[in-house]
Amino acid sequence: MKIRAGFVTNSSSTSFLIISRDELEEGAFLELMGVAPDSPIADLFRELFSDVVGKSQRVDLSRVDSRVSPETWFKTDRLSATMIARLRKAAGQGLTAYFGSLSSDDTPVQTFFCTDALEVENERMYFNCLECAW
Amino acid sequence: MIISVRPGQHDRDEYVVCPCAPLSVAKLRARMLQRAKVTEGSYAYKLVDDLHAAIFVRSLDLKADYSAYFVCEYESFGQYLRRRARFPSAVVATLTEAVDESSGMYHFRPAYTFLVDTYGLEFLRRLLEDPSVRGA
Repeated sequence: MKIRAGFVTNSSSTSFLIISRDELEEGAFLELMGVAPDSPIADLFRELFSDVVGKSQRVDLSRVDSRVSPETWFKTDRLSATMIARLRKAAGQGLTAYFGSLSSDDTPVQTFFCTDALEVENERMYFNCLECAW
Repeated sequence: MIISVRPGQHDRDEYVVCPCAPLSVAKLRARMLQRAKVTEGSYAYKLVDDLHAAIFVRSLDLKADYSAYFVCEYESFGQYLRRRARFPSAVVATLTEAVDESSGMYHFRPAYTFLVDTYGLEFLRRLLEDPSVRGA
């Protein structure tokens, strides 16, 4: 018999949606999360931003076909009712959206944000990281 | 002073956080939030606030624990660290040397997955230690 001394866990992932007035920009993202660029913990959020940018599909909502479901815009079936409602509203305003997922298999930073739940918003950006996508 | 401890090869990193100034938990919290440069009410603010509580409220203060409950059972703080906390000799030596200068020694077992390896230790040092005063 073998006994594992460490801990065992399943991997997990979480979907995210960002709606923005402008192109995704690191400074705006740090401001949204509430951390100063010269903060000693800013690198945590810079890595999250980098992962989000690298793992998202970008859609210019001013160019989408508003007669079809937002899931069609991102070629996914993972959007929740909240995300769909938010996207429809944003499409009417001609904003830009980014949709993707983070995985706990990738980096310790992604693992942390996969196990946390956040929805933050300011005048420039909306970030929803509440949806689970097993 | 902050040191990392890995109990076993497959275990997660743990830390012992030793503030040297005799500050209250409330002052430690205010200092940590100020140093983090986070906006009040933001996600980052809540993260730092939770981290503060995880370290200074929910973690065991080894120095206080020894003084309050184990001073009769173990002949020295070093014995307590070695036999009860089961810390490696090098960690015991570092902590016994620093015990008189530390207002507390908080044994922090983080649930934050990004607090691992060198990055985890550096992250905590940047957030908690005053760069102008080594061991703050």
